[in-house]
Amino acid sequence: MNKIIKSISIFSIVVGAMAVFALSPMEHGYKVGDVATDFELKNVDGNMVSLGQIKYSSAKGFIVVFTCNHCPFAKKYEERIIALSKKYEPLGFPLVAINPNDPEIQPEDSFENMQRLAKEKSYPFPYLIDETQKTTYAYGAEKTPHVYVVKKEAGKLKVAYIGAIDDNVGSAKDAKAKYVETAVDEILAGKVVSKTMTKAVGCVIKWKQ
Amino acid sequence: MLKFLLPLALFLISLLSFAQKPKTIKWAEMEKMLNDPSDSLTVINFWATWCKPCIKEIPHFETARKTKAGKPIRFWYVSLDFIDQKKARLDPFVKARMNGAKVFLLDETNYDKWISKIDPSWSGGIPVTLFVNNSKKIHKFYNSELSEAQLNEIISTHL
Repeated sequence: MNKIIKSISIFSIVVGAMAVFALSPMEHGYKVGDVATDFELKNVDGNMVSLGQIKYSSAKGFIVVFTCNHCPFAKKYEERIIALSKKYEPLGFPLVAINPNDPEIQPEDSFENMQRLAKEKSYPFPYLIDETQKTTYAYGAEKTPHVYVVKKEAGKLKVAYIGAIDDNVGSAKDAKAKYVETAVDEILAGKVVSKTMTKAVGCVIKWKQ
Repeated sequence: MLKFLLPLALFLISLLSFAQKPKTIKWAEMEKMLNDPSDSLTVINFWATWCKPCIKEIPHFETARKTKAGKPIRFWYVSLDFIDQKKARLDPFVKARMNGAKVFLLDETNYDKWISKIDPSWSGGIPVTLFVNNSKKIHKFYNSELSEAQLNEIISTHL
């Protein structure tokens, strides 16, 4: 009897492992609670930026925003992204923006155009280009803007929130739920993040062909 | 006589062009459309004038709409353009490139409230297309741009 149970359990473990294995090529990108790996990407000033660099050693976490030049949603949220950076960097929660798009497909999102926009709007945050799109793929970002709030926990970067900035793309002042602000405030207050995922319309990421 | 006919003609023309303009709808109406019980294949394409891949695939849908006329199939285009850009962008686009198509502007920008109700696997990027036939319990969701061949294959599978 014991033998049968044993072989059944071994069988189910094998089947289970096979199922996970079969699913894994389809699944990429972080879920809330996952540990995010660091990246090293080129900023508009020409320097490389990573979340583990000395400048960020005392950061409690990061607001990682996948955004770009061309997308009307990114444009609508641009001022709000700047405001988030200005509000939370002094509180130990810096914002980092990443342009995930292939400029071959979307020339408006070229590195030169990123530099121009960052200068024009005096971006207070690094605006990085993901040339290989590996970071974007690893995070699982699908559109712009797409926000990941990560908190530092025992030296690791733990994903705490994925989604939109707030619930009103048209008007910041009419937004009733400010998802990113709420998540970061809760982390800073040592609380559990109450809303960890939201969905929003955005421009799909232009992947290399 | 001409004095009378001319304003009438102008009125009719304006009525005609008015009829072609996209209709602005709210979620309640969208939900009714999704649950429409009629036994025809309804192709619901979510798009916007600012979305490059959407603009690329629309001609395929328009060709299919015209060639399948008379068959139990309907094409509904749901635009996610901003309401304040309707007059300047959406209306002229529809008039020029989707003449005669059934186009709606879904004016619901609290996206988190309804995106998952279209399909749980949708994260919010466009274009996406939903193929529905409620009386045959068909609900197929495509989370990417479709080529002409892909579109025609999906249609012939479910029609």
